[in-house]
Amino acid sequence: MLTGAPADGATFAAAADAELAAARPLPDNGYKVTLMRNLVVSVLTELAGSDAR
Amino acid sequence: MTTTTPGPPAVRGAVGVAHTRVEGRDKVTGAARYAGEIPFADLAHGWLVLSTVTRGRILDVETAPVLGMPGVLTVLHHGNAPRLNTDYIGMLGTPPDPTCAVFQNDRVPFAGWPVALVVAETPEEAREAAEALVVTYDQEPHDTALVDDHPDAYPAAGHTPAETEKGDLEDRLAASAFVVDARYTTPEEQHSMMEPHAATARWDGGRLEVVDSNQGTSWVQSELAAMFSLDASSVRVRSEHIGGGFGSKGLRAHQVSAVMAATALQRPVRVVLTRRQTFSLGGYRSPTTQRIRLGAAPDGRLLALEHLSLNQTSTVYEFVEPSAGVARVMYDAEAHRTANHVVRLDVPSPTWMRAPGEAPGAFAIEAALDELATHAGVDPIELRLRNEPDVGPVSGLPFSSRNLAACFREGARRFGWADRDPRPGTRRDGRWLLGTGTAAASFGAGAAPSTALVTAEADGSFTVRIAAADIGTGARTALTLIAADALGTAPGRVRVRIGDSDFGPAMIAGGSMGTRSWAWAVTAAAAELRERLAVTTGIPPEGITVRSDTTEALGTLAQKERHSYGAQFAEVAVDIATGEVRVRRMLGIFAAGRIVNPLTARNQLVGGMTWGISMALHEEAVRDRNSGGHYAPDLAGYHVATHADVPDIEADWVDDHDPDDPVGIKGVGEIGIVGAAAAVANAVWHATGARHRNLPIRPDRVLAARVSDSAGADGGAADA
Repeated sequence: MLTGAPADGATFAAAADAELAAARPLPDNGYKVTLMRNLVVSVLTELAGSDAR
Repeated sequence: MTTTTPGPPAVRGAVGVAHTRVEGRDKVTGAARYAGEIPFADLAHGWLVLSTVTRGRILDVETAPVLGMPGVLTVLHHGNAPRLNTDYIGMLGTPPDPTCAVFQNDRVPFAGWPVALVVAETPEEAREAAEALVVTYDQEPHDTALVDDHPDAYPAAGHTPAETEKGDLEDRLAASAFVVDARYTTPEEQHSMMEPHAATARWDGGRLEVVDSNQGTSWVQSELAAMFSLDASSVRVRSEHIGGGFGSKGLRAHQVSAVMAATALQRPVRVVLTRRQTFSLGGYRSPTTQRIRLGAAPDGRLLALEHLSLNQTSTVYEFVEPSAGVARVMYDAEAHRTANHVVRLDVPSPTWMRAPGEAPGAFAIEAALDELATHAGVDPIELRLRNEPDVGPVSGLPFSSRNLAACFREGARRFGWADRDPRPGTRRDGRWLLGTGTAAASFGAGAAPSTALVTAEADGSFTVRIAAADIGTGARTALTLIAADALGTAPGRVRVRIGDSDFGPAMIAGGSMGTRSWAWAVTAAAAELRERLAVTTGIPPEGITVRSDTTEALGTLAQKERHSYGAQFAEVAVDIATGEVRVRRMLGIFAAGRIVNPLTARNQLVGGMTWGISMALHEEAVRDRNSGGHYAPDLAGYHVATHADVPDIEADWVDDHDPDDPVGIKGVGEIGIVGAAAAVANAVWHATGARHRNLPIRPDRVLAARVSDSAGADGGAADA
């Protein structure tokens, strides 16, 4: 999913969603799935941006 | 009150000038001793044992194995403890909380209820034995969940009317151009003062002496005397230095169990609460669930206002968190309804906590007004100014002074409010969305009867004795300045002694009424002393002492709405990817009467505002519905704002002069927290476009709000 794809937010989001598809959170910790996805996308997007400079 | 002092004072002007704490050096060098560290000869140590079940009956306290452990002197429990009198109304107009009247029966009404006291030669031996003590229970099912519209909820008055109502609410809502109808919740919050409760009790020549950490020595003295059926003059309570109180430090299980043990053993006994024990024994701020309905004309003027609040209390004691009371002072409407309800659950007894009622109530109504401002397209400050009442909305009484508008104008100028773009979610700084918010604050300015003794010493200095309490506020210093001005001398020539019930009855450090009440008594005694000195040729070796009692003077005070006011401003940064909320700056401008000591007054106001950040973002004591007890009741699990969470906070004040008030002081202990959480929550909306109606605004709630926004929800964080 990542190999050969453009290093951008859409790719990272799709990869994070695929990885987290198997997550089965409980009622009080469901936010962690959202948090994980958000962090993966924002950190990788930031790193990809700095690499391009 | 009029006083006729002979001529102008020789020295004038200590009040209003910054003065460091008179006991500051003792505190920073460690010379100041706190209740748990004052040495006593032959001291024994008690350790409380708390229930591990939430509801039921004690079947057995297996004392025999524990009594054989090293150093153990006795185990007190409901099977051997003396009977106490709980059929009385205390100094503050309330009956005692049975949680304090320990070991009177076998019933367990909540998790963390005191079931035994183990007394030993050392604290370590007492703790070891307390942890080894086996208590068996007959357990019953419990209900610890505060929910909206709980079927057992009922209206409750406490210190204010349960309900107020005027006009036809439904009619005025129907006639309104804009309507807000929203529910707000605040969680259980804990006082978390630095110094947990501690007391040593001993009998001294037929007199009971208790060295304690409390908010009022004459208060605790009178409660202990009533509970143990003693003459008040047979009980002396001292409390010199106090590491914070916030409403939690009145009569508690530690003093009562220490007195029981000292009586049984006929030697001094100390009982210190652990941090964990304070979560069930020290009182707390009840969680609240509040519903607000506002209806406004096209220009934002309120036609309808309804504020309903529900809080929990224990099954053994009724405590009302009067959150719906805010609008009785702050906002009028043609139809106006407020109601405070409580429900008895299998939970510990709540109590006063900094700005009881106002803190959670102002969060809800000030957030609702922000929502109304958005709907009506009116600036939030302008909305409040358009709704300034001429007289008390419920009482109809005139205001003694009401300088809320001045607070908003000065605050808006200094905060830079005029340049604010009202649209949400439009400002960005890197990963952060930025927003600003504001809210109003108010708190009552009451006074209660107090007595003071002022002595002119033979060496030309003065001694003031008053059973005041300095719980970290700087009260001792404030009274030094007040006394110096009233006596026409310099602060350095005045020695203020406080924290001793032998000085006579005085108001507690509470309700923001301490300094106002005590200053009244001190100035009255000082004025009379100066009259005496004017006609005296020499001062005898024992000095000349004058005693004052303000009970009568208080009765002559005209009936008015007397309050402090404030305008709170906050700027926040929100990362909607992580859910983090950071407060970048806060400004509070207050109208709080005469400011006695700018240094410690600012400290109080900034402290309150800091707690507002904590209330908005961090504090939440979480109860496990299955066990009925707390998750992680300690300062690791209970989050409070710490240095990294607190930005530059600025607090200042406007002139707030009331020529008809004999004291002019309104008190600054509580108003700093009022409205602060609403200002932060309103700023989070301005940053993100999501309304957070449930405190604290945790990262998971910010994330959930973003998800619901993208799903097309109406900007609401709809979790509960």
